[in-house]
Amino acid sequence: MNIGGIDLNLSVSPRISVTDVALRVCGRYWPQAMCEDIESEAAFPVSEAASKLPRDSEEFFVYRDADAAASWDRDGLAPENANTMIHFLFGPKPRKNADRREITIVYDHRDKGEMRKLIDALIRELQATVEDPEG
Amino acid sequence: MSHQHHYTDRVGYNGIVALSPWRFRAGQPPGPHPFGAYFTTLPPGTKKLAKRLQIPRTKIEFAFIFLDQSDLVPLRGRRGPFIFFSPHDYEVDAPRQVYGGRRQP
Repeated sequence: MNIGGIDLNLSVSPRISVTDVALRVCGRYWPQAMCEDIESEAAFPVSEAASKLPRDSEEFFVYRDADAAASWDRDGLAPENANTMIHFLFGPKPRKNADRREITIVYDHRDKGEMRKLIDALIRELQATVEDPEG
Repeated sequence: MSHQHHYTDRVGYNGIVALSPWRFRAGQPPGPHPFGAYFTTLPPGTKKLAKRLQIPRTKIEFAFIFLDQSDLVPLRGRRGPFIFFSPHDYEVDAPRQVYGGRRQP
């Protein structure tokens, strides 16, 4: 068993609403983006995340579109769905006096144009410090 | 005592069960992850298992389950609580072996 994906480990301010920023940025680059929490039964449009994604979700996926979500459901990682999904892991909500929050974003190849722009936008808009680009 | 899991396809399964003790060979994963043999604490019935490990579904058809002895290294970051690796080939002798066979969700 080899694991896939690149784990981008980031440190962010606990005051940043990481879920909101993540969904907003993904929705901008992927207008048909779909989302699902690790416990969800099915993916739903990012535009419905406010009502369908658990408010305190610590781990969820965003897909480029419904076809990508279906491909990941059917095949897991496959050549035809490369760079169509981002896995967000935020961990538990930070304690009140915490000054940083460690999060991880897992993606496929950052060297492809659209994904690179999307990941760069996430880093910028999360106001994140890159702790470990190659986890 | 907690369990570790190693998921694989039929070819991988046949290669591992052919030896006693089980031997999980270290390799270079795609991408920049450390060289090693990889394991997870996620059990066979975990929802979205292939997505969380970012591997093909064919690679979770078979499972090895064994007793953890806290000698595996967690992946850095937020997948560290459920993904571990050994930087070299990893052997599991019979007393630690719990299950090897088709994954039963």
